[in-house]
Amino acid sequence: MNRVISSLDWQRLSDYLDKQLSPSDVIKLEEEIHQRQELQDALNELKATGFLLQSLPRRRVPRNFTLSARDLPAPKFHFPWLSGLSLATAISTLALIFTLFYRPLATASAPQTLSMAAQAAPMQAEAADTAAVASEVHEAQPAPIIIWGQPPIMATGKGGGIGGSGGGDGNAEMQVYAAPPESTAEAPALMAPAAPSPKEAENDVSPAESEPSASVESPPITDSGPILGIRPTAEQGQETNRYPEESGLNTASARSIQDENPSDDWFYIQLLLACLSVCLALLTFIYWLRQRR
Amino acid sequence: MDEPALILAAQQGDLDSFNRLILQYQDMVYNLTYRMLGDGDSADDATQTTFISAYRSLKSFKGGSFKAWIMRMATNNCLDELRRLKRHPSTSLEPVRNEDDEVFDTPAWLKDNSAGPENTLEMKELEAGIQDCLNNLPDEFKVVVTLVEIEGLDYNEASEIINKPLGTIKSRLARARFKLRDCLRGYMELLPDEFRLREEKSL
Repeated sequence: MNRVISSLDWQRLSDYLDKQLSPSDVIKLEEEIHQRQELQDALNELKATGFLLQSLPRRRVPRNFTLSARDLPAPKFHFPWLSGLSLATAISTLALIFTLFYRPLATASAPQTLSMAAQAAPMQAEAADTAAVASEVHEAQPAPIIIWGQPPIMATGKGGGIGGSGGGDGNAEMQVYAAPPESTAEAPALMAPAAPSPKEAENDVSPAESEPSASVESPPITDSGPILGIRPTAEQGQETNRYPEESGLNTASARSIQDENPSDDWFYIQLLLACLSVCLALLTFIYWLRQRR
Repeated sequence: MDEPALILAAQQGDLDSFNRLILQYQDMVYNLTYRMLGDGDSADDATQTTFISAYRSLKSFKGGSFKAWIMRMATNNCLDELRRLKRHPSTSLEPVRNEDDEVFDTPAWLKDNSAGPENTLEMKELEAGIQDCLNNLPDEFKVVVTLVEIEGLDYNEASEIINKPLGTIKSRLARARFKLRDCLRGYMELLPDEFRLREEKSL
């Protein structure tokens, strides 16, 4: 005899107790119950369990649960535009952050652009001049390298230079002057070679000397150029300032930077965005609190 | 005033009509929540919450059995509370059993004519044992057993309340009875004589 009661048997017994079986299934199950003692025991235990559950005492309600207008909580506040307000707050805050970070970048890049533009023009013109001169004198003499405040030395490109008049087989001649120019009157004298040899004088063609013969239409470059980064004098500065005026790129850059005048506009934009962000954030917080309650 | 008229009036904002519906169903709802939660205070809160929620969402009632509708709300509140208790278990500082709990409508076999303290204690132990077995059931089984066995609803009503097919109700009830049988074996000696005699006769 099988003593194990399967889950299917439990299901059938449970349905039998609740009269959920069809008449044919009832007859079939009752025959099995008469034949199998374990099914009869299980049925009795199920009956006892149901009897215990149904006999549990009813609990008396501790009070009446009727509602009054006071018991009913006020309808919950709902602000339908809270998500939109939150989004606007976030956008204005991001815009404020952008302007705060963009401002230093703009101010930092403006002088750099201006100086680069100012430097680019003479370098370009000088490069063009040098290229024109170099095309004429390349075979004759390389451009001199000028060092202020040192005794004259001749440098050699290959193997390093040693003081003396002999340049070895170097290609560049280094001309050293006693001191930087203090005034424009002294500058041409200082720019002249200290003691060029006759042979060198014939072959030596400095950029300043070669400019008038250059075919490029650019102002003559004197000793006020950017050589060695020496600050030019006032007169030389005028000559230097002609480069940005003549260069279209530099003129446009300088004008655009000057026309922006960001100091006031940016301040007002930042102030406006800051006020907007604070107001929106406060509104969002207030409505969020009211909705949360 | 019949029930549909009360419901209609309550849907139009008549609080008195809704209170009459509350008086009609509060006993059933409270006993369901009590057996589901196993605690009088929790049952009180769940019952009150159920009626407030019902009043708020009364306009969503589209007809049918109002009893099943209100019992579904009570069942869902109990399941939410049981889930919350599982997430945040707490231990009460009060005694487990309140001796002042009132019991009414006591079945015949539990009526103690002698009113002796021993019998009263045994009855309370038996009820506590049954409630303990109910508490140890999985929630989905506990709902079905409470609705069908304790509240006496039929399968169709239970199916409508918990929104499950009839086969699921039968299956869950059978498995719940099997689990309860194992649990209640330890309390059989507490059964009153009348019940034991019936058991012996059936055997």
